[in-house]
Amino acid sequence: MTIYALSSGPGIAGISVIRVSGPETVEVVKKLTRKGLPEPRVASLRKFNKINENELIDEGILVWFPGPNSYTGEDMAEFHVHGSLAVVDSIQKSISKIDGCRLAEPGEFTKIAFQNNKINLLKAESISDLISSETEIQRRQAIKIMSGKSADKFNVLRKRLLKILSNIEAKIDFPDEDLPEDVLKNIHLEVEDIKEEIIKILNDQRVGERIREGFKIAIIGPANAGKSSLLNYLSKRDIAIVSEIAGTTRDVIEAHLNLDGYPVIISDTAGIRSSKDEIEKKGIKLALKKAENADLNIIVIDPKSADFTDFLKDVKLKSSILVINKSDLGIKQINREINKYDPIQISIKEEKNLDKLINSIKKKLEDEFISSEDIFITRERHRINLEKCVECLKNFEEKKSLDDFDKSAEDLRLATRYLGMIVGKVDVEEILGSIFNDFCIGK
Amino acid sequence: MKNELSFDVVVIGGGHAGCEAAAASARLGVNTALFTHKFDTIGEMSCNPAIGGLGKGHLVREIDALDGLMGEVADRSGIQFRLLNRSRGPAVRGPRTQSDRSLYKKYMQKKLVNYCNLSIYSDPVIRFNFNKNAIIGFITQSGKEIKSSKIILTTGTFLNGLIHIGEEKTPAGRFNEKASTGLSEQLVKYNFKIGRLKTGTPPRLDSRTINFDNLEEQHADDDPYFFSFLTKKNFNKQISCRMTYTNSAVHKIISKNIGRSAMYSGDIKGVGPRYCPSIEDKIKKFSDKQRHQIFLEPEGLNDYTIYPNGISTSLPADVQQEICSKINGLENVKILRPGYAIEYDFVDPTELFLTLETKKIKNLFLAGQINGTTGYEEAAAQGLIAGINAALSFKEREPFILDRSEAYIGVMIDDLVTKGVAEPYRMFTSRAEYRLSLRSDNADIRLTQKGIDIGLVQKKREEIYIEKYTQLLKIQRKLDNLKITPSKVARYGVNIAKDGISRSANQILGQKSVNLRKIREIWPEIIYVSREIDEQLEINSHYIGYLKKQNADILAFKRDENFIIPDNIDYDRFAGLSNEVKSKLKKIKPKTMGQALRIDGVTPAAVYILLSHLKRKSIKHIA
Repeated sequence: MTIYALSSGPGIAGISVIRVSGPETVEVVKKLTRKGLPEPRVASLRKFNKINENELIDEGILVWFPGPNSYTGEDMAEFHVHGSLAVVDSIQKSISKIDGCRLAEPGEFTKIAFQNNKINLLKAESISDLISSETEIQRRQAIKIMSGKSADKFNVLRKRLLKILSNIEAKIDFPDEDLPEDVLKNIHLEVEDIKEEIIKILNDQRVGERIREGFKIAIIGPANAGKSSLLNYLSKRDIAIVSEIAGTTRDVIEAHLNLDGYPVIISDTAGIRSSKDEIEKKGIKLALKKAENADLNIIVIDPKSADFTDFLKDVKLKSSILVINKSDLGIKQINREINKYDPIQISIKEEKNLDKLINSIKKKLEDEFISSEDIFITRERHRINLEKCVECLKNFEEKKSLDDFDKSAEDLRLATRYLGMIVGKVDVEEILGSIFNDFCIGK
Repeated sequence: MKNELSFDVVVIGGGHAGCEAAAASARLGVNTALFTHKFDTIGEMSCNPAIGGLGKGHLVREIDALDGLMGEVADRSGIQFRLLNRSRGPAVRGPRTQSDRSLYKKYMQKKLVNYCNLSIYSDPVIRFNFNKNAIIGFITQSGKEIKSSKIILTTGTFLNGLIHIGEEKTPAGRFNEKASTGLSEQLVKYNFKIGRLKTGTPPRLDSRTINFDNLEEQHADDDPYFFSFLTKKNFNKQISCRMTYTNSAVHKIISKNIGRSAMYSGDIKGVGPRYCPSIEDKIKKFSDKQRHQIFLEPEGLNDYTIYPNGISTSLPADVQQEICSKINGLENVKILRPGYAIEYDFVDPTELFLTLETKKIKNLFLAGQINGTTGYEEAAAQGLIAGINAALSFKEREPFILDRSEAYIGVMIDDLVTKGVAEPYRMFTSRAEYRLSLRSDNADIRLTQKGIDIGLVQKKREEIYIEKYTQLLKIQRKLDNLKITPSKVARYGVNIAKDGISRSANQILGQKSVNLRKIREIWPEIIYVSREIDEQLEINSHYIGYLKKQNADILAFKRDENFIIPDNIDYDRFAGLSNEVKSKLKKIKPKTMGQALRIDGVTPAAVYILLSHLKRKSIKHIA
């Protein structure tokens, strides 16, 4: 099947790019241009015509990528046309009239590239991450993974496991062979080493996932301190309803923001006070839970809320910033207890000191999460597979008796498979290949 | 006319694939014939005189569980039973035996001659007859015209076989037997992808000229583990094999003459197996290895022939003699027949359905070495499946397919049909994803009932199996239902975590160093039926945790297999399906994805399209 799709953004633009991939690509190019194929990988000016009708659609640039040296590994072409809805529509309609052509599903070009072994699973994922990256550090992370940093790391670990596994499998499948005495020596040491390395990778505070999904920040504090106003200010929109009435916000309101390069998910929560209202009580419970799960809490208080110190002791979790709003009220005396927490005095109303707050948020996130250590995990999927891998390696280490040889082989096979699943590689032929390369097998 | 005969299923070839194919088809009650070059070579072990090993032994147990021939014949002719990996855990135990070559042949022939619904002809096939894209029969050398609804081709290495001994080349199938030429060309006309492979054998030696005195001895097991679930006692005297080694003098001679080896002179185009290299290969690729072992395997109890396993070669005969005379024990050896390499055509097995019917020629099935495999056991297992499916297809019944989670047979055929082969394909336990479930001890529990369901299993085995299974189930239920607390069980010397939680007898049995004897001390009401059943129960509980995990995996695997296709599906709306596939799907209306895949002409690609349309949401997440 040959697939096609508008690959640049929808809507009016200077240029739009329509991509085609599959065995009919040659046919598509010839029929639309009424000419032969242009030189491969060179931009060529062409006229694009309707199919079976004598009518010009547009004039533009054609690039022809013969397979297998293309993104998908199949024959591909790109039509660069003027970015009009009508032009794009007409070109797509024309292609659809050619036998064996259909509109691509979202992500299908990349899926084909993966299936044709042009890219591994990690790269496929990072391409999608790059496309959807909104902030600078997300882009930086996606491009790092895309260039193969994680894949290399996991492949090296997997190769080491494969080596051990092939030694064990050789012992199993070729019991009569004259294998070297020491094939099983050092295996436990090597397994332990690999296990420790994976544990180190896992021990990354989930920064990769946090960057991809956004850091979770909860705004909490007593009622009527200006939490919702802060959310509205940061998101530059009126997301939350603000009023003079204490307890206006009851549910959690979330906003995805690009905070000066940092992807964050900010949650505005119900103000904390003792309330008899059932709904408000539920909202407060939710607020406390959000605070617990957040990567960073912004605690907003009112200069008058001097008695908030007890609560602070509870909430002063791993990481938080204390903000005293309403500096415009001119209250200078701050409770000494509160001063200990190094509060930032702001005024949302007069937009005072807010840049200081944003810098402080960035610094906290950076100190807490962004280290010079390399990050290899960007998705829950990677983490789960690595955790399962470690679990299997631990099972392997526990087995000491020869009777359990087949079970310990199973532990290693599973460990290798889980590691392979991250890059999308699971193949028994590799194990056999490794056996035959290393040992002289064959009676 | 007398020269015209007609059958439901005809098997061409009397090797290990052919024997099982013919027998399976006949067991299913259809009128079957077997055509071979020579009656006397039916069941011939043309390479080394041994059956089984790792993976291979598993295959034989599975063939036996489906009432095939190989297990019993190997047991009747076995002269050195050894259970490989006895101490490495039950899942990787591989039964193996040396067989007496002439006894093996004799019992195989005797079994086939006595089979109901089976006629045997020794008359070479010289031409196939086709009707459009279907095979309808063939012409034999004696001028017979045979008509058959289904034909199974099991011609092994006989398709354009070419034997190399040094610079000498002789067209042949086996030594001193003619190759089938011409049939290959007929298949080529149908655009089959044909490839070329090679394999080799060592010289055969005269045991009377070998000095065994100083050679290591490899004994048979004291308590033989048999291939067949029906075999209860040993039939033959057990012998030992001896071992000797190559040495630097030998390696020097080989290096000096390497240019005269057919493999290295560039004469051989076929690809050989990595796990069965010639001695030339071993010395070239592993030059740092000081010596290579050689097993001296007797070919029979009353046979002076020795098969020196480990030195297959295509060097000229005089060099072979020179090499042997430098080996410890073989100083004065007489070579009865030189070793040789053989090249042969094979059909790319991706040309086959899982039933082993070809995709391009209807009613033609291929089994054995012709599909690019090596080994008697691999051939026999394919023969069995081809025979079953040819007969079922004749009876217009649903095909019989074993999947990767059910049997090594399933793993092998799935590998062949979906991946093809790059070298002669041999079974290894490492190929099986579900190795802990696919054990040789439970082959009957896995497969015999499936055989009974399609009428493949004869009365005797059916009764034995049902009896065993009933008893096994009864005791297993008891083991699951009887409970004991940690403190109570401690009184019997079994120590488990004292958490106050009662454990089932089965969980206790799963503890290290607990066996059923111990269990019976605690619960005398658990009856003893046989050692076989006890072993089975002990093994089951040994794997309890792993099998639970593996079963979850198998379920996930079967999810696609059992993915339900809605009744009201409109096949016309799927772009990418050919009209032929659409009309077949509309006609047969498969209920599951697995079934759709098994319909003739429905390609995996078509099923993939179906699956991706039906599961559209779930596949989108891949970038």
